[in-house]
Amino acid sequence: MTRTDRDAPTLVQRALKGHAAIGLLVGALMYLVVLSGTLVVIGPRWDRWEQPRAPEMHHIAPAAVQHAVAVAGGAHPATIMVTLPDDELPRTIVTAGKRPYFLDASGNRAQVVAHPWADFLLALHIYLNLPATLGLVVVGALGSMLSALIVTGVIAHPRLFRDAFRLRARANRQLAQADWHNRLGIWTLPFGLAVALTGAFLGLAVVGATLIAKGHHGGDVAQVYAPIFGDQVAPGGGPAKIADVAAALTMMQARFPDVTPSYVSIAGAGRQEQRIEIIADVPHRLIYGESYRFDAAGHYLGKVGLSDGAVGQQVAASMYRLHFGSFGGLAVELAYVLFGLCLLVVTGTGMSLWLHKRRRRGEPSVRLEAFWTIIVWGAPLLIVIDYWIVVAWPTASATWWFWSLLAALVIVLMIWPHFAKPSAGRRVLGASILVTGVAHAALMRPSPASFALDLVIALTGIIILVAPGLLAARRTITRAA
Amino acid sequence: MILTLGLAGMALAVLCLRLGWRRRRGVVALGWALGIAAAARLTARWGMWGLCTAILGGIAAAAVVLAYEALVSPAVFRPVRARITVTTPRWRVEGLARRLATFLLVVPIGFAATEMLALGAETAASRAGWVEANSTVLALVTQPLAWAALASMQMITRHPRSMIAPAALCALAGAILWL
Repeated sequence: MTRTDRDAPTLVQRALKGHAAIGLLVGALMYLVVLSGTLVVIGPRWDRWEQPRAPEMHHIAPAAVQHAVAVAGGAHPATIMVTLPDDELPRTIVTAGKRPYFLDASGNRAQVVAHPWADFLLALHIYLNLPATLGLVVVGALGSMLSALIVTGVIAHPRLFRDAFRLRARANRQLAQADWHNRLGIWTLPFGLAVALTGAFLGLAVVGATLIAKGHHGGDVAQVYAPIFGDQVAPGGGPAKIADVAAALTMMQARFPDVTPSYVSIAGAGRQEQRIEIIADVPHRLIYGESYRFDAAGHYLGKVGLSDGAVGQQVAASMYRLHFGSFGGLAVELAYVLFGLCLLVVTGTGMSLWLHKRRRRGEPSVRLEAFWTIIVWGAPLLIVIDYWIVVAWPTASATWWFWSLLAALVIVLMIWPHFAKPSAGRRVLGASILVTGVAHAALMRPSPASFALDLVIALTGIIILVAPGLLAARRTITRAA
Repeated sequence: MILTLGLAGMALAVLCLRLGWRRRRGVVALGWALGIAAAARLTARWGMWGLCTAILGGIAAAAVVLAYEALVSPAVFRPVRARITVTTPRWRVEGLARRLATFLLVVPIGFAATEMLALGAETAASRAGWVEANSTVLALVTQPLAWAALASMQMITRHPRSMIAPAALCALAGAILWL
């Protein structure tokens, strides 16, 4: 063996280097996307939590929906959409213009939908708050890079099975972090790959669809999606009575008793050719629903085939729920939150390990360490602060405040990096979460479901505050013994 | 009932893996067999929904086992000097060109090459008589999958120069499928 061969890095070393390089490139943005993604798994519950006094119901009568669309149709919108109540969001929402609003159980208009903080979280996850198409592509690219991180991470870990349960959580900080990073990364690998690839699909599809549209359909993207999700032609014709949604919903109950309508839309509302579309949950399926179509009189026309059509339709319709974990009720949502937190720990410890290694080699990156402290502890803290900003000042832009404060924090702590203390960041974050849970419960008169969320929030704050202390206490006890 | 039994099977499978870990290969094999059987049963009953639910059950069981491992792990006071496994790059000017080349080859060029492959696959599928929904979704699924695979391949090469060939092959494959 020549000297060159001996010195050449092995596959494992190259994979580690590549893993570290991708992590460095996308680490901060990935952390923000994973953090917001973990929160938006229970997005509808945040909607209820942020706007606690909207009317709630577990069912709304077809006649009440009909009354609501008749009223909404008076303003002559092109499309009327009604989100029907379900277990996760027991509220009925009408969108027939710029401002969606709630309905009461009789179908009368209630207050306007206003949960800017929850909307900000969703936009942070889906677009990184960038303009829509650019944001989708950037977040989609992060999905592909996360997949590449997972693949290189597995190649870099030849002792995959031998170390499967090795977790030295009470060892020194670097070893403990390495074990948490590797063990959580490996055991949540199927989840990580699923959310990464579905996220990449959802984000990057816009590019592929645009290119296919340019190649085959003269640039009309709607024609690319039509064979998958059904055509979305805007019906025309002269003025007519608003479509009979009640008849369509009643027919759904009779003809398809096993599915649950979740969404109604009237395209070309109040036009002669108006068409009703009802999306219904199909139990024990990953698809977001089947789309049933009716004419203006409520006569059934057929379904799009998301549940039993071409394989491509079923695959495309499954991506959303597989990504957001909304296919199995609260249990699956909680699992997604837990595994999302695991992915967050993997992301956070990955960069920390790299920084530790630099420090140990005598090349500390003080400013990069400060930057990473801001991302890991400062970003979630700013999300909490953002909530209180929009509570105190309802017209404030949650997006503007989050990014402005994050930028200010980065600038200040890059200039004075010695002020960036991870332990202080953790304590402030834990305290702010605890205070938020308690204050929300005390001030906002939440529903029982939102009060339960307040308890979880307060408990999360306590765990963040005391968990490292408990580990240290146990370490002291062990040493004394 | 099938769901409960399937999830219990997944949890038991992870428990067997833990109990047999580094000691009893038979118990480990039993764990794998149980896990595969439980996942297969749920998949047979509910298709992909069943498989996803089974996998989530398995990961949740593993999370519980890991939490227990963390709680009972012995305290280590002596600093452990871990083997240096990552060579940290030194931030010098001459390294910048290499990093920039790596970025360009993996991100924009990798993206373009895999998009070509995806569009080529879509064209070939259409030509083979696939319905439009299938050929379109094939393209939309291929691109992110291929990009992740290509980026992984590129990042384990020895030099940025070696990153060119996989990207070029990807684009070439797309062009051939297109023609």
